Amino acid sequence: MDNLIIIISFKEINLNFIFYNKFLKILYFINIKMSAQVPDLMKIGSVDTEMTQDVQTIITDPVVFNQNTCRFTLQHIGFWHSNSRLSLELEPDLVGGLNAMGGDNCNATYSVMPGISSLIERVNLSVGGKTICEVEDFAHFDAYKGMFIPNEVNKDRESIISGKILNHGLNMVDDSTNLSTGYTIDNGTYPHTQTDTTGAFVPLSASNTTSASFMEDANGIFPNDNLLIRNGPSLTIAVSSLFPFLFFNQLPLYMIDEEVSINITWTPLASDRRACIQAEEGATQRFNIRQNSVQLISDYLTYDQNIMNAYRDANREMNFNYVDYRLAKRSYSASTTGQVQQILNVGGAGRIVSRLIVGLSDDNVDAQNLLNAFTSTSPGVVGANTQILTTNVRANDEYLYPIDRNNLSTLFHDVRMSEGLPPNVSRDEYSGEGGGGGGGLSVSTEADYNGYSVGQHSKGLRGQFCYQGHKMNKNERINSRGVELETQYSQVPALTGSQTYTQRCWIEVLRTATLIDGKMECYYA
Amino acid sequence: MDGRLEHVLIQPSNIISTQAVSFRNGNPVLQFVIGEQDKYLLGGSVRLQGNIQFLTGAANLPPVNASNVALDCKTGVYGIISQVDLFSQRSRQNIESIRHYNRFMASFLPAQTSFQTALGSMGQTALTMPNHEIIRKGVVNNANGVDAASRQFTGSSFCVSIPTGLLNSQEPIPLSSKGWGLGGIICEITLENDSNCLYSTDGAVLEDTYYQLTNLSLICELVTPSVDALSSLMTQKAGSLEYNSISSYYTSVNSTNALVNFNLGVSKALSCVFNVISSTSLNNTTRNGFACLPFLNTDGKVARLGQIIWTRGGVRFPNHYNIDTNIRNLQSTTVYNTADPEVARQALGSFMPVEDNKHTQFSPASINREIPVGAAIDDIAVGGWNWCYGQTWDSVSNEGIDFSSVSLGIQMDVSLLTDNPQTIFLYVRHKNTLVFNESGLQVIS
Repeated sequence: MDNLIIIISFKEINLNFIFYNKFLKILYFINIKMSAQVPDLMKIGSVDTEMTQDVQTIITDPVVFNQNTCRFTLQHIGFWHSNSRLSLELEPDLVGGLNAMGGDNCNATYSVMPGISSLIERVNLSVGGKTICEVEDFAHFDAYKGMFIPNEVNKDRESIISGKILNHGLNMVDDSTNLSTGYTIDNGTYPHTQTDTTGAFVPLSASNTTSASFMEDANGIFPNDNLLIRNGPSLTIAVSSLFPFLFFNQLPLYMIDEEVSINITWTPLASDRRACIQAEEGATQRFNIRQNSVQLISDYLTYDQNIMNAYRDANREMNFNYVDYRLAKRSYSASTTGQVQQILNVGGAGRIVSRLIVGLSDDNVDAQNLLNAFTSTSPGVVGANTQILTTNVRANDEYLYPIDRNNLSTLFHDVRMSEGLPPNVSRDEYSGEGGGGGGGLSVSTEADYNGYSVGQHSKGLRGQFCYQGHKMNKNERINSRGVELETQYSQVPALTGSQTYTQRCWIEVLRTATLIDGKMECYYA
Repeated sequence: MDGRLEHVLIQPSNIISTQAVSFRNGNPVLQFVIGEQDKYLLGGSVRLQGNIQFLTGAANLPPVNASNVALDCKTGVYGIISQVDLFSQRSRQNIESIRHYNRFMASFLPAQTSFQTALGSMGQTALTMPNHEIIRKGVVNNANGVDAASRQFTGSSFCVSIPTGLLNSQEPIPLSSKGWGLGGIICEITLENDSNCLYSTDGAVLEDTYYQLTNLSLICELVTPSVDALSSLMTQKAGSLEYNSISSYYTSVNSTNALVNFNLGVSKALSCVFNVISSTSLNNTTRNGFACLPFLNTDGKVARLGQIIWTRGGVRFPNHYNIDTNIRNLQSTTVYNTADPEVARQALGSFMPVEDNKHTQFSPASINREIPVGAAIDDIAVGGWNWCYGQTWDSVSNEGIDFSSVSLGIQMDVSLLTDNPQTIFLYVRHKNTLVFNESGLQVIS
């Protein structure tokens, strides 16, 4: 009863939402509060003890699975931990001899960014058939979100877990001069040994301590074994990545009476988008998703039954706000994009829009590259001249920026301000400025990754992360005209003939969910 | 704070009609006026944006790859900022002034950013790059804009924050002149001369080489208080702000028993850090003016630091003992290149508590006594050298130590056996209180 009273008192000060950390703080406070009271030792009964938290990990198979779609149904146990993960794996195509070293596509691997997320086209979380959260073109979305993972974390953790490997290392010319031809992907396969000028191994010595030498392979860098599809690596995605609102909220599944399900639409089998294939191999092979590998590894948190009951009783009616993303996209052809201002109405009428995420990707690339199509291209380079992107956002009859943004570094800064974190991509990867000739990503053969030059625009990483982010700082509801995104590229690379680019814009909108007596409803705030 | 945000873009108020600014052509100061208005400035949102181009020779063209023009890779575009001054627009009173700003950044940036950050996000915005060759080819030699056809801009774009105490204070800065604000802010940026921020890779003197800035502007976000908040503020006739500031000091030593004293004149000093360079390497295109090196003898060999003592008013403080380095008791002929860990830790801790610092470029590769002798002395593979020395005075109460009436002393036992003056740039982090009312403002250090 004491517990109940204290929890209710918290509810009265409007802490009636589901933040996990807040909940823990509440429980902590309960303990503090109780320990401060003098117990009635004469009274017969149980003495309050420390709170305990149980974590059950349950591996769930999909209730529906085929090569187009998949559905999971969650169990109604405790709180669903946001770091629960979805496990995925591509099935090596034995017909193509993938299991044989040297066979067709023996070096097929996942996109450098977003890794295993390239298998997912759309993901949806529904409660009782009502969509709570949905992300369309998820692979593109996760390629953007992946930029904010520190490079060191990509190398050490994400390369094992999700297949994201973007991390940089210098490509050295000569240890004695400390000259570099640029930088490339560092996935940990460089032997960090000291070598003399002939390339022979020498022990670490006083004369060699300032060099950061790499013993390079003339054919470049290769994917780690755990990312080669022929080895059948099983990689995972956190549910908080699938549904971004779970970064801040955890669903109290035990309080929900309706069916909670995850619906996933896979990237089409017939497309080139599921994997990246080495240069000299054919690009015609396709990869099935291995059915047995698709599992939801869910962590369910439970507390003492009295606490769980008390929390449910105290929150018979619960509201929480969260953000969801809505996608607007449009294709541009050679005749419509080049040097023409594009105004895209991205929606949001009547909503509270807090952020825009924008990218422009090439629809015509195949699987023979490092990033597949999960890119946002930078303006091109004409001769020696870097081109520009001019952009602005108009909402409620006002422009977000007083003067259009066209400085590429400022666009990068806007992404940082919008997310609160810097994108961990290099200057050459974002804007393509100063690259080539050793001033950015290396074009040396020794620096190639999986047979592709990282310093190329079309196959490599150069100018492929030029996403834009706009924080809508007015904190106003958008009028009936919606949000208009204005963009103008002075030049888009390799946009000729029938080729097309697709501009994607996710708007972050504020939503509210209510949970009343086990029934959940949601609506736009 | 209750209010409405808006983006603002401010053009410099003192540049010529061509909009091209360079130290060489007589524009050493940039001035931006954030006018007095009933709004707040978000200091953390202030950015200097523009384009920078490096030109050389009679034809004023970017250097080619075979040339020898180089830029310090640790500081990037921060290397061109010699001094930052903040004034009240209304009263013209100085609020904050940081001299030798670029040399401060030469230690501050590597201490606070990782190799990946210097190559990644800082590379895009501040043009840093942890390798001297890549920045030379990618930034200095960037030929963008040389062709008149299809030219959109010239050189490399940048967009940098301006870390100062006031702007980094985390508190919204009131701009009003009606008692509850500073009466607008004038931000003056003094540019560095070309001979200090550019250097040659081969030790030759650079002729007719300079940098040029174009399309300069200051961007920031302002907050308009809500009507209710504004009416409440209008009744407020005074206010105050507290922030950590940086003060800079300069001296030189040329002795084996190097004694330096500084009258800091601040009452809430938190920590200090200094970096060193041979005086002959300053304002000299044959050497990198932002190299953070150990004490050096004339022959370029390291003058070994055997002991360092920090004093306050002549008494050892905060350590009540001498810091003997790991080579003090070794014979002078013994080769021992590993830097002293306590000296390195104290230097790193002067920027922020060491245990909180998760990203740094301070490493055995960049703080090492094996300094090659020659022109390319700062050209190591992983950025530049990061030698610096520091001391934290107060990391517990964060209230600071009073140095207003006593001097800071640093005693060093250095094997500086030749006549080679060493310049010391000292930076003190201290708390300031800014008090303002209708008649003006006062900075209490």
